[in-house]
Amino acid sequence: MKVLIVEDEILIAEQLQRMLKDIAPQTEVLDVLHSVKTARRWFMQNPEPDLLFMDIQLSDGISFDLFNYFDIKCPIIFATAYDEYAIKAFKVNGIDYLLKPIDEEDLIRALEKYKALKKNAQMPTELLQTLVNHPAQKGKLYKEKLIVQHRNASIPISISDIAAFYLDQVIYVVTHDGQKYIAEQNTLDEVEDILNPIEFFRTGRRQIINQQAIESYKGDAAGKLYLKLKTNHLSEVEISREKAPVFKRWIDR
Amino acid sequence: MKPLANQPNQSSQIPATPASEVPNYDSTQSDVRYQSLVSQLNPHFLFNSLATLESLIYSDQRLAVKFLSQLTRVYRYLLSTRSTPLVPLSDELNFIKDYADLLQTRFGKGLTVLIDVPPQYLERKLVPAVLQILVENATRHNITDPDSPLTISIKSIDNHLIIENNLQKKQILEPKRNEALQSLTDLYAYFSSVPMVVEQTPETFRVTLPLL
Repeated sequence: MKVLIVEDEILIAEQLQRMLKDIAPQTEVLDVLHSVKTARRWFMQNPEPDLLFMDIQLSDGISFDLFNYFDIKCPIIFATAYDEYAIKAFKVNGIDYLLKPIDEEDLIRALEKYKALKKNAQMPTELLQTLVNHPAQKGKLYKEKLIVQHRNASIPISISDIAAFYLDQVIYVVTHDGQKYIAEQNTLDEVEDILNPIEFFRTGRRQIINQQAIESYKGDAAGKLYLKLKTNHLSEVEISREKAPVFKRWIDR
Repeated sequence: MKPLANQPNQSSQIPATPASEVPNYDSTQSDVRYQSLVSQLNPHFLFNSLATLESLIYSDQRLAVKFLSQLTRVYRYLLSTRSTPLVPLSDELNFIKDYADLLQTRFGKGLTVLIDVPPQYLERKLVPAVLQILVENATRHNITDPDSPLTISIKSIDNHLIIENNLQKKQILEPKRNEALQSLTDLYAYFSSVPMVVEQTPETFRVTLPLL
């Protein structure tokens, strides 16, 4: 978790850092900024942090002023000595409002709120990360061979040779070298279960493709993606707007 | 977004009210007025000081103890002078040194408070906590950043005490405490025929108090 602290009193900022180190040791404090001016410069030069801790009245103005310059999207935990500006704070992504001196229990609760929020907001990435990194998934050995049908005969083929699966009444299996077979499975869900999600991607209801089979892809104005595959059996595959970001994260690993 | 607080507190439009135009307060009225003035000690000050103290307990125990003593003295002074109409300048200066030290510990190089009062004035009188109100006012309304520090000077010239700071206003929350200066002016008009004077130029803000 990358955190930015905006607090004009150095000693108070130091204490917050100490508390974060205790409570959430994995926290990386990117910077501690003491004024509206330095915060403005920081946001011009850096991507947003995961979480922002911010005092309201700063030594050279009011931190809310930053929102006039930047469309800050990250969650913010406000920390202030004494005032009644909570409503304003919550209008600008404030997820919690802490009173100084900060109580450790309050800080723990605020961080839990942040974690819960993050979980909900970033489901697709989380899900993908879980798929890729989950211990159960990591250790799982995927099949190397798949039995397919060809003219009433069963043929074992290497899964790495498969360019794509597509559904058209039955499930067809297309290989990189242009052969076409019929899979034994009845649904694409069953097929998906036996494939390594790092190598194969379910582009929609009708196809699963191998990363190796993608020649190029392009987007349209509506946010859909069109994949051009290396195999001529399935030259163009469409990916919906909703699924496009997930695809992009999958391909750009 | 519009400025949240743009009421000029340290502004030029506060004329010192001539003593002759001030209605004759009886002492009860004055007490009421004064109580409300003193009780305006900013809660921000207390809670930020406590937060600072918490940090010092971890990082610098020696300074933490000093800070705690100063904080204690500041509050004890404010309590003990609550019903005192006037105090000797020496007491008030000792108090303001503690108060300024607390602020300087918090703001670091962002604030300097200079005190230069010759000994012959030390037994003269003034309204208790008036310096604290003026110093707090200056820090509340002006930038106290190490890049552009605030300097407050307290000096005495010709039977007057002058409290002056460089003017570098910042946007602030809580404009509601703006009546402090006017209350002080009225209070001085009650004690003295020589008015308290508030002056502002583009660069400086100055309050001149008669030493009683």
